[in-house]
Amino acid sequence: MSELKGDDLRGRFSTLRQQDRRHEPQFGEVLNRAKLRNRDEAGSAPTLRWIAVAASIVIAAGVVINKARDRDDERPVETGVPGVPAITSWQSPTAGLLQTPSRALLAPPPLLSSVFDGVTQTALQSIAD
Amino acid sequence: MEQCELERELEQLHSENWGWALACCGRDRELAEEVLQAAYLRIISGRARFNGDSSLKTWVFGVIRLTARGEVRRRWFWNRRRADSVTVIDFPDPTRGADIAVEESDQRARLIRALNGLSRRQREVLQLVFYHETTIEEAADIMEVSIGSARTHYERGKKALARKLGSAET
Repeated sequence: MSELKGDDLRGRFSTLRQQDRRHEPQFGEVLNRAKLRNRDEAGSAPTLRWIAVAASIVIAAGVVINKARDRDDERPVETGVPGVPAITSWQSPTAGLLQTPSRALLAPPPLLSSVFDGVTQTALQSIAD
Repeated sequence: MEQCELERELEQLHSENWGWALACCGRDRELAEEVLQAAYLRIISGRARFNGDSSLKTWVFGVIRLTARGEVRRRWFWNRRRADSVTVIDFPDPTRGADIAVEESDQRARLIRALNGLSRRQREVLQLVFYHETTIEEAADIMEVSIGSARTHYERGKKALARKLGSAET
Protein backbone atom coordinates (compact mmCIF):
# COMPACT_ATOMS: atom_id res chain seq x y z
CA MET A 1 0.00 0.00 0.00
CA SER A 2 1.58 3.31 -1.00
CA GLU A 3 1.36 6.37 1.25
CA LEU A 4 1.47 10.04 0.33
CA LYS A 5 3.93 12.53 1.79
CA GLY A 6 3.08 15.83 3.48
CA ASP A 7 4.05 17.91 0.45
CA ASP A 8 1.75 15.92 -1.76
CA LEU A 9 -1.07 16.45 0.69
CA ARG A 10 -0.34 20.16 0.71
CA GLY A 11 -0.49 20.19 -3.08
CA ARG A 12 -3.83 18.44 -3.11
CA PHE A 13 -5.31 20.85 -0.58
CA SER A 14 -3.96 23.72 -2.64
CA THR A 15 -5.81 22.40 -5.71
CA LEU A 16 -8.93 22.04 -3.61
CA ARG A 17 -8.58 25.64 -2.43
CA GLN A 18 -8.26 26.93 -5.98
CA GLN A 19 -11.34 25.01 -7.05
CA ASP A 20 -13.32 26.22 -4.03
CA ARG A 21 -12.50 29.83 -4.90
CA ARG A 22 -14.27 29.44 -8.22
CA HIS A 23 -17.55 29.05 -6.35
CA GLU A 24 -16.84 31.70 -3.75
CA PRO A 25 -19.76 34.10 -3.18
CA GLN A 26 -19.01 37.83 -3.37
CA PHE A 27 -18.10 39.32 -0.01
CA GLY A 28 -20.34 42.35 -0.57
CA GLU A 29 -23.36 40.16 -1.30
CA VAL A 30 -22.89 38.00 1.78
CA LEU A 31 -22.32 41.03 3.99
CA ASN A 32 -25.34 42.90 2.59
CA ARG A 33 -27.58 39.91 3.17
CA ALA A 34 -26.22 39.65 6.71
CA LYS A 35 -26.93 43.35 7.27
CA LEU A 36 -30.47 43.00 5.93
CA ARG A 37 -31.03 40.04 8.21
CA ASN A 38 -29.65 42.06 11.10
CA ARG A 39 -32.08 44.89 10.34
CA ASP A 40 -35.01 42.45 10.10
CA GLU A 41 -34.06 40.80 13.37
CA ALA A 42 -33.59 44.16 15.05
CA GLY A 43 -37.05 45.21 13.83
CA SER A 44 -38.78 42.09 15.05
CA ALA A 45 -36.89 41.82 18.33
CA PRO A 46 -38.74 44.66 20.19
CA THR A 47 -42.12 43.28 19.06
CA LEU A 48 -41.22 39.84 20.40
CA ARG A 49 -39.96 41.42 23.61
CA TRP A 50 -43.27 43.26 24.10
CA ILE A 51 -45.24 40.10 23.41
CA ALA A 52 -43.16 38.25 26.01
CA VAL A 53 -43.67 41.04 28.58
CA ALA A 54 -47.45 41.15 27.95
CA ALA A 55 -47.69 37.35 28.22
CA SER A 56 -45.83 37.29 31.53
CA ILE A 57 -48.04 40.07 32.93
CA VAL A 58 -51.19 38.12 31.96
CA ILE A 59 -49.82 34.93 33.55
CA ALA A 60 -48.82 36.77 36.76
CA ALA A 61 -52.26 38.42 36.98
CA GLY A 62 -53.93 35.03 36.50
CA VAL A 63 -51.89 33.49 39.34
CA VAL A 64 -52.66 36.41 41.70
CA ILE A 65 -56.41 36.28 40.94
CA ASN A 66 -56.50 32.52 41.43
CA LYS A 67 -54.74 32.75 44.80
CA ALA A 68 -57.08 35.52 45.97
CA ARG A 69 -60.08 33.39 45.01
CA ASP A 70 -58.73 30.44 47.00
CA ARG A 71 -58.24 32.65 50.04
CA ASP A 72 -61.89 33.88 49.80
CA ASP A 73 -63.14 30.26 49.73
CA GLU A 74 -61.24 29.38 52.92
CA ARG A 75 -62.48 32.41 54.89
CA PRO A 76 -65.71 31.77 57.07
CA VAL A 77 -68.87 33.47 55.90
CA GLU A 78 -69.77 36.46 58.00
CA THR A 79 -73.36 37.01 59.20
CA GLY A 80 -73.16 40.72 59.62
CA VAL A 81 -73.79 40.41 63.42
CA PRO A 82 -70.50 40.66 65.29
CA GLY A 83 -69.62 37.49 67.27
CA VAL A 84 -72.32 35.34 65.63
CA PRO A 85 -71.10 32.79 63.07
CA ALA A 86 -73.02 32.07 59.86
CA ILE A 87 -75.35 29.06 59.78
CA THR A 88 -73.07 27.34 57.26
CA SER A 89 -70.12 27.40 59.63
CA TRP A 90 -72.07 26.80 62.92
CA GLN A 91 -71.40 23.58 64.82
CA SER A 92 -73.27 22.11 67.73
CA PRO A 93 -71.26 22.11 70.99
CA THR A 94 -72.16 18.39 71.50
CA ALA A 95 -71.40 17.34 67.91
CA GLY A 96 -68.26 15.64 69.12
CA LEU A 97 -70.28 13.18 71.24
CA LEU A 98 -72.22 11.95 68.21
CA GLN A 99 -69.08 10.87 66.45
CA THR A 100 -69.03 7.05 66.61
CA PRO A 101 -65.67 5.42 66.62
CA SER A 102 -66.40 3.58 63.37
CA ARG A 103 -63.09 1.81 63.33
CA ALA A 104 -63.76 0.21 66.70
CA LEU A 105 -67.28 -0.91 65.62
CA LEU A 106 -66.15 -2.40 62.34
CA ALA A 107 -63.09 -4.14 63.76
CA PRO A 108 -63.40 -7.97 63.91
CA PRO A 109 -63.35 -9.70 67.32
CA PRO A 110 -59.91 -10.80 68.51
CA LEU A 111 -58.94 -14.30 67.43
CA LEU A 112 -56.99 -15.08 70.58
CA SER A 113 -58.71 -14.70 73.91
CA SER A 114 -57.20 -12.54 76.56
CA VAL A 115 -56.48 -13.59 80.15
CA PHE A 116 -58.65 -10.68 81.26
CA ASP A 117 -61.75 -11.91 79.35
CA GLY A 118 -63.12 -13.88 82.33
CA VAL A 119 -62.26 -11.17 84.83
CA THR A 120 -63.99 -8.40 82.90
CA GLN A 121 -67.04 -10.58 82.15
CA THR A 122 -67.61 -11.57 85.85
CA ALA A 123 -67.12 -7.98 86.93
CA LEU A 124 -69.71 -6.81 84.39
CA GLN A 125 -72.12 -9.58 85.46
CA SER A 126 -71.81 -8.63 89.12
CA ILE A 127 -72.55 -4.98 88.26
CA ALA A 128 -75.64 -6.07 86.27
CA ASP A 129 -76.83 -8.23 89.16
CA MET B 1 -12.42 47.57 16.55
CA GLU B 2 -14.46 49.96 14.41
CA GLN B 3 -17.26 48.59 12.23
CA CYS B 4 -15.58 49.72 8.97
CA GLU B 5 -12.26 48.30 9.99
CA LEU B 6 -13.89 45.02 10.96
CA GLU B 7 -15.63 44.81 7.58
CA ARG B 8 -12.36 45.51 5.78
CA GLU B 9 -10.61 42.78 7.74
CA LEU B 10 -13.45 40.38 7.03
CA GLU B 11 -13.20 41.13 3.32
CA GLN B 12 -9.51 40.28 3.35
CA LEU B 13 -10.26 36.99 5.08
CA HIS B 14 -13.31 36.21 2.95
CA SER B 15 -11.71 33.55 0.71
CA GLU B 16 -10.28 31.77 3.73
CA ASN B 17 -13.60 32.08 5.53
CA TRP B 18 -15.39 30.57 2.56
CA GLY B 19 -13.04 27.58 2.44
CA TRP B 20 -13.43 27.02 6.17
CA ALA B 21 -17.21 27.35 6.01
CA LEU B 22 -17.26 24.74 3.22
CA ALA B 23 -15.17 22.39 5.33
CA CYS B 24 -17.43 22.87 8.35
CA CYS B 25 -20.57 22.18 6.28
CA GLY B 26 -19.46 18.93 4.61
CA ARG B 27 -18.70 20.93 1.44
CA ASP B 28 -22.37 21.84 0.95
CA ARG B 29 -22.13 25.20 -0.85
CA GLU B 30 -25.64 26.36 -0.08
CA LEU B 31 -25.25 25.61 3.61
CA ALA B 32 -21.76 27.12 3.69
CA GLU B 33 -23.07 30.37 2.23
CA GLU B 34 -25.83 30.49 4.82
CA VAL B 35 -23.38 29.78 7.61
CA LEU B 36 -20.99 32.45 6.40
CA GLN B 37 -23.81 34.96 6.30
CA ALA B 38 -24.95 34.01 9.80
CA ALA B 39 -21.38 34.23 11.09
CA TYR B 40 -20.93 37.69 9.54
CA LEU B 41 -24.24 38.70 11.09
CA ARG B 42 -23.00 37.63 14.52
CA ILE B 43 -19.83 39.61 14.03
CA ILE B 44 -21.29 42.85 12.68
CA SER B 45 -24.20 42.86 15.13
CA GLY B 46 -21.74 42.52 18.03
CA ARG B 47 -23.20 39.23 19.26
CA ALA B 48 -19.71 37.79 18.84
CA ARG B 49 -17.02 40.10 20.16
CA PHE B 50 -13.35 40.06 19.34
CA ASN B 51 -11.34 40.63 22.52
CA GLY B 52 -7.88 40.34 20.97
CA ASP B 53 -6.88 37.12 22.78
CA SER B 54 -6.01 35.50 19.46
CA SER B 55 -5.55 36.63 15.87
CA LEU B 56 -8.64 37.91 14.07
CA LYS B 57 -8.49 34.97 11.65
CA THR B 58 -8.50 32.46 14.50
CA TRP B 59 -11.44 34.21 16.13
CA VAL B 60 -13.46 34.48 12.89
CA PHE B 61 -12.78 30.80 12.16
CA GLY B 62 -14.04 29.96 15.65
CA VAL B 63 -17.25 31.92 15.02
CA ILE B 64 -17.77 30.17 11.67
CA ARG B 65 -17.17 26.78 13.24
CA LEU B 66 -19.68 27.35 16.02
CA THR B 67 -22.26 28.81 13.62
CA ALA B 68 -21.83 25.85 11.27
CA ARG B 69 -22.22 23.35 14.08
CA GLY B 70 -25.44 25.03 15.23
CA GLU B 71 -26.81 25.17 11.70
CA VAL B 72 -25.88 21.56 10.90
CA ARG B 73 -27.54 20.42 14.16
CA ARG B 74 -30.65 22.47 13.40
CA ARG B 75 -30.90 20.99 9.91
CA TRP B 76 -30.35 17.48 11.23
CA PHE B 77 -33.25 17.86 13.69
CA TRP B 78 -35.43 19.41 11.02
CA ASN B 79 -34.66 16.63 8.51
CA ARG B 80 -35.25 13.97 11.14
CA ARG B 81 -38.61 15.45 12.08
CA ARG B 82 -39.60 15.68 8.43
CA ALA B 83 -38.42 12.13 7.80
CA ASP B 84 -40.45 10.92 10.81
CA SER B 85 -43.60 12.61 9.59
CA VAL B 86 -43.48 11.08 6.11
CA THR B 87 -41.66 7.90 7.22
CA VAL B 88 -38.93 8.31 4.65
CA ILE B 89 -35.43 7.27 5.62
CA ASP B 90 -33.04 9.87 4.29
CA PHE B 91 -29.48 8.62 4.45
CA PRO B 92 -26.96 11.46 4.57
CA ASP B 93 -24.74 11.76 1.53
CA PRO B 94 -21.15 12.47 2.64
CA THR B 95 -20.31 14.26 -0.61
CA ARG B 96 -23.57 16.26 -0.70
CA GLY B 97 -23.23 19.60 -2.44
CA ALA B 98 -19.91 18.81 -3.93
CA ASP B 99 -21.18 17.80 -7.38
CA ILE B 100 -17.93 15.94 -7.71
CA ALA B 101 -18.90 13.61 -10.52
CA VAL B 102 -20.03 16.37 -12.83
CA GLU B 103 -17.88 19.41 -12.54
CA GLU B 104 -14.87 18.76 -10.36
CA SER B 105 -11.65 16.97 -10.90
CA ASP B 106 -11.19 13.38 -9.94
CA GLN B 107 -8.37 14.28 -7.57
CA ARG B 108 -10.58 16.70 -5.66
CA ALA B 109 -13.32 14.09 -5.41
CA ARG B 110 -10.87 11.55 -4.05
CA LEU B 111 -9.54 14.01 -1.49
CA ILE B 112 -13.06 14.91 -0.33
CA ARG B 113 -14.02 11.27 -0.10
CA ALA B 114 -10.89 10.47 1.87
CA LEU B 115 -11.49 13.43 4.20
CA ASN B 116 -15.05 12.29 4.79
CA GLY B 117 -13.68 8.96 5.94
CA LEU B 118 -11.83 10.65 8.82
CA SER B 119 -13.19 11.77 12.18
CA ARG B 120 -14.48 15.33 12.44
CA ARG B 121 -11.54 16.47 14.56
CA GLN B 122 -8.99 14.93 12.19
CA ARG B 123 -10.74 16.51 9.21
CA GLU B 124 -10.79 19.90 10.90
CA VAL B 125 -7.14 19.91 11.91
CA LEU B 126 -5.96 18.75 8.49
CA GLN B 127 -8.11 21.34 6.75
CA LEU B 128 -6.70 24.08 8.99
CA VAL B 129 -3.08 23.04 8.62
CA PHE B 130 -2.94 22.08 4.94
CA TYR B 131 -5.65 24.25 3.42
CA HIS B 132 -5.46 27.38 5.59
CA GLU B 133 -1.81 26.98 6.53
CA THR B 134 -2.36 27.58 10.23
CA THR B 135 -0.08 26.17 12.88
CA ILE B 136 -1.25 23.29 15.06
CA GLU B 137 -1.46 25.76 17.99
CA GLU B 138 -3.80 28.01 16.02
CA ALA B 139 -5.80 24.99 14.89
CA ALA B 140 -6.14 23.89 18.53
CA ASP B 141 -7.39 27.37 19.41
CA ILE B 142 -10.00 27.33 16.64
CA MET B 143 -11.12 23.79 17.46
CA GLU B 144 -11.22 24.57 21.20
CA VAL B 145 -9.03 21.59 22.12
CA SER B 146 -5.64 21.34 23.81
CA ILE B 147 -2.49 21.53 21.69
CA GLY B 148 -1.63 17.95 22.59
CA SER B 149 -5.02 16.73 21.45
CA ALA B 150 -4.79 18.74 18.21
CA ARG B 151 -1.34 17.28 17.55
CA THR B 152 -2.64 13.73 18.07
CA HIS B 153 -5.57 14.36 15.72
CA TYR B 154 -3.16 15.85 13.20
CA GLU B 155 -0.71 12.93 13.27
CA ARG B 156 -3.37 10.25 13.14
CA GLY B 157 -5.42 12.12 10.56
CA LYS B 158 -2.44 12.72 8.29
CA LYS B 159 -1.49 9.06 8.34
CA ALA B 160 -5.06 7.92 7.74
CA LEU B 161 -5.57 10.42 4.91
CA ALA B 162 -2.31 9.47 3.21
CA ARG B 163 -3.22 5.81 3.51
CA LYS B 164 -6.71 6.38 2.10
CA LEU B 165 -5.45 8.46 -0.81
CA GLY B 166 -2.60 6.06 -1.49
CA SER B 167 -4.85 3.03 -1.53
CA ALA B 168 -7.40 4.84 -3.68
CA GLU B 169 -4.80 5.47 -6.33
CA THR B 170 -3.26 2.00 -6.48
